[in-house]
Amino acid sequence: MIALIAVICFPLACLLGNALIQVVDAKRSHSEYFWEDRLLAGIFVVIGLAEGAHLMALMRGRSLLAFTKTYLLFLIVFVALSTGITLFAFRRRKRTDDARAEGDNANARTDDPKAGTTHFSKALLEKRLDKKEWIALSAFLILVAVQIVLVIVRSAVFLEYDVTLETVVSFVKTNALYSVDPLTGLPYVQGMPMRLKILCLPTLYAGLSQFFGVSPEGVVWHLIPAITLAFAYFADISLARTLFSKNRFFALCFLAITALLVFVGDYGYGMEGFGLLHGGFQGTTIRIAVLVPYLFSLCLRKKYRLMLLPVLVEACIVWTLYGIGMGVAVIALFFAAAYVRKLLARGPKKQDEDGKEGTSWANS
Amino acid sequence: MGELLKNAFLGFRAMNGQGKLFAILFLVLLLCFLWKLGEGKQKELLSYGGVATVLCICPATAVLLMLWQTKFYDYEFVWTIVPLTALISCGIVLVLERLLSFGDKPKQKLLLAFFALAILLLCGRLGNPKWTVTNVSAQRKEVSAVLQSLKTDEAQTICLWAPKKVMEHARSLDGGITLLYGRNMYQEHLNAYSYEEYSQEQRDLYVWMSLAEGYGTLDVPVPADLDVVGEAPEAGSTMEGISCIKKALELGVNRVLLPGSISEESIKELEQALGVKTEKLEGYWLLR
Repeated sequence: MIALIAVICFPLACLLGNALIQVVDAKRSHSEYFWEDRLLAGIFVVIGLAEGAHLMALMRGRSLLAFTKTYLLFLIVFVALSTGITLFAFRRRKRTDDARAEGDNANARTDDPKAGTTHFSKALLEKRLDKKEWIALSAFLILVAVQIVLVIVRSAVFLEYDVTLETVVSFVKTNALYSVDPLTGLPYVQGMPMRLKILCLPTLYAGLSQFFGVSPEGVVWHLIPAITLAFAYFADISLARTLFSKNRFFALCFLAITALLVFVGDYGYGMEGFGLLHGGFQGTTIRIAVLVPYLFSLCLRKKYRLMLLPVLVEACIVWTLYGIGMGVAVIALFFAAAYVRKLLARGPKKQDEDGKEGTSWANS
Repeated sequence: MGELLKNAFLGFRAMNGQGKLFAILFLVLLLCFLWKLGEGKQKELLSYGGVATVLCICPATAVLLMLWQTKFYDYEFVWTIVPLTALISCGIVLVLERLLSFGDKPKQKLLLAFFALAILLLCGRLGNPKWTVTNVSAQRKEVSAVLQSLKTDEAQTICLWAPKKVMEHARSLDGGITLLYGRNMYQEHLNAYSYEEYSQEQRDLYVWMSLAEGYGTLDVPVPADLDVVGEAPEAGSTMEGISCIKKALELGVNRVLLPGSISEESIKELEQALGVKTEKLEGYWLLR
């Protein structure tokens, strides 16, 4: 059942993400976005829809079953819309290509210097891997496979700071949202902070458990961490492609080292590796392993419109300062650093003119 | 000799358990700075990483970031703004790129790669951080068997009071069971998830159960170094098991599991005093 959910999850995410990218950036949707962009954008839509259904159920005091039904309805509507948008975009692209072919401009798009990323993705598929690239790719895939198997098979979960499983079990058992204290099972007397109540992940997990008939433990401790792990690597692939667009071997090395670092970095609470291997269901893990790396990829590629997505998703899954989370801090800091870098880059030029040397690697 | 070797091995593992990735991060940033590595987007990421790292280390800016992320999360999560894994990976690849350009000596390059890999592997525990996370499958199986044995009358909601090990997993295994107190009794930071509070009576009952498990008796002396949330019972006084169990029953508990370490004589004494029957259940005493 877990495999079935995973199989459903990826094409669904891809379809929703593709449609979203078409809407957000139709002109460049084909040439400047990768398949992992579509997957990640899609999963963000899935989380966003869950938040919508969760808030509706929470505010109206409705049951978990009502949440599941509303969520399904949202998904069906969005899948239908996404299919329509995708087909429309496909037809439009085909028409444009045909028009270009007729006008003897078939190669115009590939000659466009802005479409450099497409060259690279095409090259990734078309050009054969050499021996060292195979080694790097194999190391990456083996490490990822081992991690996914470990997450699915083991129940090595860090429980100390978390009540997700108890919350999900309570939701499923009572068919209600936040009616009882998850740690004791007794009805709330004083209640709980609203800022935590509005976060959608426990409800989403409970809805999945209820709909697919999988135990809450199976969903929270095994299925979701495996999906988080996969999406964390999609974010890393996006980053690798952005950082090492000219050299596929180094991009693959980057991925292999990242996978190794996930293993190495699981020594302490708060580390990315630790979160992925022992708490992939937590909002903070999704933030540090999926949202933030993807945000860096978007910042580096200057995809301003899509940057809003991880920021919004963070507000749905993690307690933020009135919706302004660490994602906003990352974006602000990134552009501040870029501005400082620009200023420093101007400085040494003047200094060079004066016969002095610039010292920082950041300013050349 | 074997013991010495074991101690040395465990000691080394304990030593390399914390903070090694940060050392690699600083090394990578330093090498990138000195060798002027990277170009374009790589440099953008590295410069951002350098600035963000400084912000996370400097106490004043770290406090600001902690306020930004709400005080709900710990200091560790301030490091969310530093793409630690991506930064280190990017830095290592750039260093590798530089080293590969140092001429054509395959054996030396291979040796260097192995050396770098060894350093990296020695920096963590490779998916096995035993002191904070354990595979709880076996433990949960055991508790699940206990909970199954408790269910006799489906119509009645079970309110359980049991040793910590059972209480810890009871709610996540069976949503129908209610507990006298939850994990937030001893994991204080979990109290951030709700406004609920425990009474002093509940806290005393938790203390008694923890001590009874250790002493293996019904009447337990309160140690001076007792570390509990809330007001601790007076050090040196004795907490009486029978009165504690009576109190729990008054609070609505209808299933009491006592630690199996309590002697049979004490249990018989308890049966006489309370007029209840007990039976041995998976290493615990169950009051009926």
